[in-house]
Amino acid sequence: MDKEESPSLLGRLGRNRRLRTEVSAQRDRLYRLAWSWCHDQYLADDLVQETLTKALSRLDSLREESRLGVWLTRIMANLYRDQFRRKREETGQEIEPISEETPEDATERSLLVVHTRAAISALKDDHRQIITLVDLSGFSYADTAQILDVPVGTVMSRLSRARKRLREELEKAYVTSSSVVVPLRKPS
Amino acid sequence: MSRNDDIDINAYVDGELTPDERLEVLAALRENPDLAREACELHNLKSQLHLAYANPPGPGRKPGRRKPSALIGIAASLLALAIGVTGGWFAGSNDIRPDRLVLLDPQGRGQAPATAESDATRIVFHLTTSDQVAAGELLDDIEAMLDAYHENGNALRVEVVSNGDGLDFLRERLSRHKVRIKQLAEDYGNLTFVACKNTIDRVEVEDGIEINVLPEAEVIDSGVNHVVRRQKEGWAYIRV
Amino acid sequence: MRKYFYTLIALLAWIGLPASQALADNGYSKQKVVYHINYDDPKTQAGALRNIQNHINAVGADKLDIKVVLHGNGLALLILPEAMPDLPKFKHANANDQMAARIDGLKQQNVSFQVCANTVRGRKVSVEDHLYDVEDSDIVPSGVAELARLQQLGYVYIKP
Repeated sequence: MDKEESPSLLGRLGRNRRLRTEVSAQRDRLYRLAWSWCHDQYLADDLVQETLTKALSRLDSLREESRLGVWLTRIMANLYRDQFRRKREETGQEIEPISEETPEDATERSLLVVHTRAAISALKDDHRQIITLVDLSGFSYADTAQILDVPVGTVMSRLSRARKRLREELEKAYVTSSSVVVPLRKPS
Repeated sequence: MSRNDDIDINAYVDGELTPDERLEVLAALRENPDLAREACELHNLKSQLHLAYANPPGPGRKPGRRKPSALIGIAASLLALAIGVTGGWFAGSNDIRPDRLVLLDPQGRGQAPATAESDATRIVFHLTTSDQVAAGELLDDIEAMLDAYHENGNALRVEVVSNGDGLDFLRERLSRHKVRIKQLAEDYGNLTFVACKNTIDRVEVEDGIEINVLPEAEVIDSGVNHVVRRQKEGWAYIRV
Repeated sequence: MRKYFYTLIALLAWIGLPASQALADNGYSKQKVVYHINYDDPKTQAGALRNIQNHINAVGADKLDIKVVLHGNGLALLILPEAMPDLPKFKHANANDQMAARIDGLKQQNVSFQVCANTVRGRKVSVEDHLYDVEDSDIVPSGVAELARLQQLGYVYIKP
């Protein structure tokens, strides 16, 4: 290879190719998180799509490759806050995790799963996001703080409140439901 | 429980305390069964969440990749192989309940792939042998890893769960690594030791003695349950 | 010519598959499994190799991506019997002709054996002189770190 050619073009091509692959590899993880926020597969897919598009157009702004997951999730959290929260309200949808499945599907899945999803979607956005970020995605407090752009102290207090609320909602779900469909509050 | 207690116990379960803070909470857990119960519930909540969102409906599957349910089927037949095959016998996967096998069989021989969500590496070591040389080598490996990750600034959590014969490692009277365990626990906030209460109870009854566990160790209901919980949360699993 | 070369590279850049993804002939990804061996008893080790062979027989070598990670005592699997006197920290050296043949057979069916550098260093093993058919590319910095890394990449963990 001719050494007089500028190495940075190839270097960047290589880096970007690698990053593109890694970004795409995160799709499933992002979708799982997005779905836990939206409880609607089309909305979640849209959110992930826009996140990836935005990320791929800004690869150069990613400073440390080891922070890819945090960086992507932060983009997604911002998109959710700026656009998708509103979209959810606009469609006037009650969040019904069961609406996408037939009753047969739902009974196949264990009741625990159904109730947990119902309880999570009954939480307000802030609480739902913080619990899923820490418990589902496994982000540290510091990373979660960065993703949501709040101080770590806020993460800690919000998280402990959110878990309390989650347990209250779980108890409600078990107490009130005898059938599979669980009526839920409108999104707040 | 006061507000700060609330936050502390949450941070404890999430592995976010400094070594000193953790030692304090450990001591508190020993004295306060309510607190211990709270910690247990928080652990369960975590794995419950993972279970609930393991298979979200909808898009996100690349063509040519197997769906998770198929993966579980494969993992189940792999386990059937691992368990049944020394005798040259191959079990059909129809008789096997995938969810039970996939996560952990009693001998801990196989598990479904961990769904690592965040960038953090999380490893649970399951210590079931009384071989203290092996335990020492394990500490060597762990220390090397903690060091390396600390250098790179990458997130790592390591947990050592002792049950069955492995409990010796965490017993005051029998452990040959007390000093090292103490030192590592002081140096690294992301390293935890867990002792299995079921094993403790069993040995106390069988041998008619009282067992004292090292102060660095958290006593949890069941070592096996805890290892399963961690796997459900997406931790990598290594049996020693 | 140079221009062609760079265009080709750019093209490959978009087409290239990541190393961790291997496609079997039927277009499905291979099943990924990592076997963990850290014990040295020859009978148990032979049993483990038998397990692996049965596994391959049941599923098909071309549908599997199997790695065997050896560390601590498990390294005995690849230690040549004549090396025993040089290795006081090992109680067994199991790579006799029979075991070697089995290992070769497995390697031909897509099984790779990874060796822990920490163990090599800690127990003063010479890869060239003491181990059976181990190349530099087979050595990983840490056996347990490799076990964790592979699991994160989707490998099923089995300890036979």
